[in-house]
Amino acid sequence: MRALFLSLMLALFGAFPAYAGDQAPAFTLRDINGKQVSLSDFSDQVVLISFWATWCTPCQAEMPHLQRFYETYGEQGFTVLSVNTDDARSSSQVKPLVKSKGLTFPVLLDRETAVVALYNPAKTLPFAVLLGKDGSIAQVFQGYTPGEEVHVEEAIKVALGLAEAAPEAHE
Amino acid sequence: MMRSAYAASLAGALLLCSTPALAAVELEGHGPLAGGTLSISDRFALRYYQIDGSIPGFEESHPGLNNYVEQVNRLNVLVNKGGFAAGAQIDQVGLFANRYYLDDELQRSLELYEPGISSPWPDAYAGLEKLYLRNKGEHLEVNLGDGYVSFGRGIALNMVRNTNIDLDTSLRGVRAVVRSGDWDFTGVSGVTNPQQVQLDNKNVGIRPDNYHMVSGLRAERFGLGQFNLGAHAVVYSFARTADAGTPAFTRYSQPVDVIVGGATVEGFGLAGVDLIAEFDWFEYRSPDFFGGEDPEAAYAAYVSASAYPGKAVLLVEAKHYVNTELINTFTGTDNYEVAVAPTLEYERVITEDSSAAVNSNDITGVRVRVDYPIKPGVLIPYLSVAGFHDRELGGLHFNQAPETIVHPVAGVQWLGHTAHIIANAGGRADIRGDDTGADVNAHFDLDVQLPAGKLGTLELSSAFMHFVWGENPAQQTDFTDVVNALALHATDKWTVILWQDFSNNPLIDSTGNIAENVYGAAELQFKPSSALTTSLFYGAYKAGIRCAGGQCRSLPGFEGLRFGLNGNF
Repeated sequence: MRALFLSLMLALFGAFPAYAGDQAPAFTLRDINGKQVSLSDFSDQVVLISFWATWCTPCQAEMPHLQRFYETYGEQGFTVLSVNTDDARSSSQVKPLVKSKGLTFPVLLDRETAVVALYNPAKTLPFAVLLGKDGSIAQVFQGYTPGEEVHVEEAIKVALGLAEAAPEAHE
Repeated sequence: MMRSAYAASLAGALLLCSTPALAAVELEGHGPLAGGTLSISDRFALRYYQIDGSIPGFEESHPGLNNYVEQVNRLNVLVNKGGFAAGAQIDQVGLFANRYYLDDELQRSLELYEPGISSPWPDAYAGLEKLYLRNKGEHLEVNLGDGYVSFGRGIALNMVRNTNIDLDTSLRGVRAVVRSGDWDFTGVSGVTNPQQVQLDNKNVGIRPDNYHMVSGLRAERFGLGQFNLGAHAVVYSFARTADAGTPAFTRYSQPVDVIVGGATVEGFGLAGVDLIAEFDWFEYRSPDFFGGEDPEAAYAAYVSASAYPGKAVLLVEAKHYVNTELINTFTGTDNYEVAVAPTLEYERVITEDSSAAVNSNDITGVRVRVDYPIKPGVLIPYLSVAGFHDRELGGLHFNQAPETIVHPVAGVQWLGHTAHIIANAGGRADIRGDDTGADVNAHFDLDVQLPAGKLGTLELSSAFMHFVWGENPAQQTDFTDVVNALALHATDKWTVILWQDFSNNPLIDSTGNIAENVYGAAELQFKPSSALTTSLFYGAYKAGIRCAGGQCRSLPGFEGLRFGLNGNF
């Protein structure tokens, strides 16, 4: 499979795959207060981009952990960039939900599902991508099962330089 | 030939399974995309359908007669560098054992696709379903090919993916956004491109796309004091059944069927209130939307306001829609929509009957929800009441007089560090205006997660609904629906789920595997890495209507064996 894509990339773009320093797609969205927010606004920070929807129960279960990460590591250069993927018809519910859960990290609206398509074309939720300070993708988290927050926190600490990388963190 | 195609397909999936789960890979070298990223995601499913049947002339049922195997794969490839992205989605499906012969005579045949679909294999199909190029600059963002678009609250235009209910319709054409200071201008033009291969549902009788033309413009002014203002216009030209198979761009030479014009206002922090309002006017130019009669007036008004007094969170939504749902007349037969206004009902218990009222062409309604976080993020009870007056008659509404709908719901969320409880309960009454009673729907759902010591974590999800009909010409039978799932998350890698459904709803087309109305199944899920999930399911689940984000779809039941894979590489 890799050989196939190697050939494809060489043929099409004169580039070939390697396995380090992955680059996150750029995007600009409006937040729940109508302000424009770009991924580039968070350069030099470790960013956890978390995709969710109001109807997604595992997303609700994951949120207290995201808030805790944001509060614990915020001063050390970490942020959660929460991207809501509810479409236009249900997006009025987003800000009230954010308020009732006491979430204080930035929440962006991807009503056209354009940004989630760049990171997770299957649009399975929840879905999170951890970016290092250089803007590269450090790890992808698909779905949420209880206990998985431990691994997310480990990956955040590694990206912040607060812990050594465990073998699994390289996946 | 077919077998070799299948071997290649399966081998491809196995290769993906065995590939280490990388988030993405960087492209090196000297080409224009050097330093960019290649991302691959894949969803694969292998389903063995168990369907009893009988042969004409033989009275008895023949277990296994209609059994067959379906294999589906969706591969997404994305090359990205800075603001540039190129993406493709390849969908592939194939059927095995879908023909049954007796004494060399074909007794049964399940056709994967209809004439007009181009495929070298009789029981397999592969297609480049989505293809796009996107470039995002500081002031200009352009998408060529397949993209998604929504204006305002989705009343005039809303073509997005809702993969939770297996819907993915893109607009194939061009989408451009110009950002200049506080202004955004969005222009789109293209033809509808619904997915031909179903990822979660049965694939039979795949038809060629019937293209509908959609073009629109939207201008938005942000930061006007505490307000954002927007205005938009959209034109549609819909293909008729007889147009199936005609080239996509011929739609541009056909008459415009509908023009929609609308405006939006968003206000933030107005005396502590956030406000969103939208009004759209629909001009239908074809009598085809009104059964051959002259087009009638059509418009939609929607407003929502949220306030945060003290600890409480208050959300009020109101709607008044007249003939707005008719815009989906020509796409409804293909089970997708190009524009849908907010329904104000987001619960999971919408039924075959109530979904007709939700999407009514003559409805006025209000919904009020109050959340009172006793401990924000931890303990949040809420109360919601929705009320509607539905004046549309006939069809799936089963009523001959306007009805008033009242739907109170109460719920609570407790989200602990290692445990949670999410519970909702409510009742929905459709009260007839002609003294023929009311349709009443009582519902309850629960999601409980608890630590189970060394075993891991237990999670119980249950949904119960009991529906009682009022009087109607096609008198239906009252019914009960129950869905239960008990999951043991043994670690963050292994999950075992036991499923059990009950339904005696005569409107659904499925039969239980344990008893006529009782369904049972077991599923094993394994996550070898954070970006890869595999699952093995055996048993049956019931057919029924499923909703996500206020959008609903009737989904078929299933009995058999299913293997699934979902990975990002």
